[in-house]
Amino acid sequence: MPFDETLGLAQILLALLLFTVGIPALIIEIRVDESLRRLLHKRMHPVPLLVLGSVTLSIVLALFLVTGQAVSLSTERLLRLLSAGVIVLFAAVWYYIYNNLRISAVVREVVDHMKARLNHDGTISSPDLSDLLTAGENLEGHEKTEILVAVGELIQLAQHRHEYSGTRLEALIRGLPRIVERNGSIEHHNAAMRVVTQSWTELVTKKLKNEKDADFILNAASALSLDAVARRLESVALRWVSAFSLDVDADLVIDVPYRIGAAAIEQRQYRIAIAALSRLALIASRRQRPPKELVALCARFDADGRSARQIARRFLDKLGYSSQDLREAAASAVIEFENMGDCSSADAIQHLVESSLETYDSTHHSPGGMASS
Amino acid sequence: MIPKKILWIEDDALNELGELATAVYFELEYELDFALSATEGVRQLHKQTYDAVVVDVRLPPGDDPKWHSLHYEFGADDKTARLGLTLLRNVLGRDKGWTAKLPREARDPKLYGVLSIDPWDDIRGDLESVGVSIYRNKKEGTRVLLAIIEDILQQRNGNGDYV
Repeated sequence: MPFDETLGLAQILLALLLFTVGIPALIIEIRVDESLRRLLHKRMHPVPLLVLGSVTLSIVLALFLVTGQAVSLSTERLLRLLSAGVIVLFAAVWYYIYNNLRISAVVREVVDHMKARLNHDGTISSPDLSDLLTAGENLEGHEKTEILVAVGELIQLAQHRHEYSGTRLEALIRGLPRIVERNGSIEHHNAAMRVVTQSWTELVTKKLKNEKDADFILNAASALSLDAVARRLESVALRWVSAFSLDVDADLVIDVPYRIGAAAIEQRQYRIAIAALSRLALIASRRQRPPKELVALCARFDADGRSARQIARRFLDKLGYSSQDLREAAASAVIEFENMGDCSSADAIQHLVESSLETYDSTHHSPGGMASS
Repeated sequence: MIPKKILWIEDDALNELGELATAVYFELEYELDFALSATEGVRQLHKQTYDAVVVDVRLPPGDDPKWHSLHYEFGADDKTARLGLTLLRNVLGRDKGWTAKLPREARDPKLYGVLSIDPWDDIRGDLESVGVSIYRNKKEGTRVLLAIIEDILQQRNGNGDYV
């Protein structure tokens, strides 16, 4: 091939290279969410890009210098080699982009790094976790599920370490609602539920249910379940109601169905509220006195209209409480909820005592005795 | 009173989960767990011992690749794939497949009942081949889940007479 043709071909290839690299880069920059773009920039390795830039610049410079000049045979050979180099560079750049400049590749790298560090010294790298959660929040579809699964694997790794004492999962667990609440689908809710229940089972198996991580896990469960109620994902909310076994320690998990039930009533999703009330009633059936959460949820049903009031009454009747039992439980529940700063629950119970328990009295005469159904 | 543990493996394609479950909640005798796919169903059976298991015929595969490939093999449609029947065959049939590690209690055909919109005649042969005799059609009404649970429990107590 004559020298001028080689030179022309090299120029065309170079233009093609810049075009095919530049366009995808531009598309990524435009389409990707701001926080994901920042994450990509932050995680991008500078060396290959610097090499790529320098080589491209050198070729452009060489082509510019030799255009229109008579060159020696060796220079011509060098330029031919450079032309071939452009093609190789073209392939290499694409390979690099495919493997390294995708968000999934960045996530994989972050997760691998976190796992390696967890395996090595049992710690969780904060910058890595922050990047993982940012990606999780902003991605959608299967990529979001993959991040939830990765968080679950990290939690398992942490929990399986012999020195794990129930106090290490805060950052990971708190990330789950963050990831799901933004653009989460049923698939994401289900994946997060699996992570939460698995980590709870592990905690219980290791007899660490009174440690801090238990609170984080149950708070995450509440946050995720309330999100499911807010989005009207009934099947997810119903599964959250019974997500934690009552065999272990119902006192620890009782807050989850209560919060779900209260939110469901507010949003008039009564089937979920009934499931929650039933769960609380099952817990109550194992006790002497009605738990405050049952009293409060009954109070919320009571305040929501005649039909809802009848539903609460059916459960209370089944449990066989006397009006005296309920009055005592309500009085202590008001104080407990006030002490917790949960004024809406306290007010609902107060209202129950002042209004509806009067009618309950008229059908359940015997203080201390069993109520008739 | 200790509530009976119930597993309902159901895809919720028609959003009927809450509607049918409400009657069960009112009874205050059952702890109801849900599994929304074949994968989750088997997972729950590994995790927990149940007093009754209600299975839908048309189940989605869930996230286990083995169930996915079966689903694909049978036409990638819940209606034609009938993974609920495959699950029963796997758990109760001779070929244990990937459910080989299930606890012995989960392999009792009397533990299971089928709640489906598929007519009895269409699935009778499959159910009889694995020893499952309890079936109800979802169209029976909102108390049908409660009814099938009671059927299973009665049968397990030895005084059932069904279908």
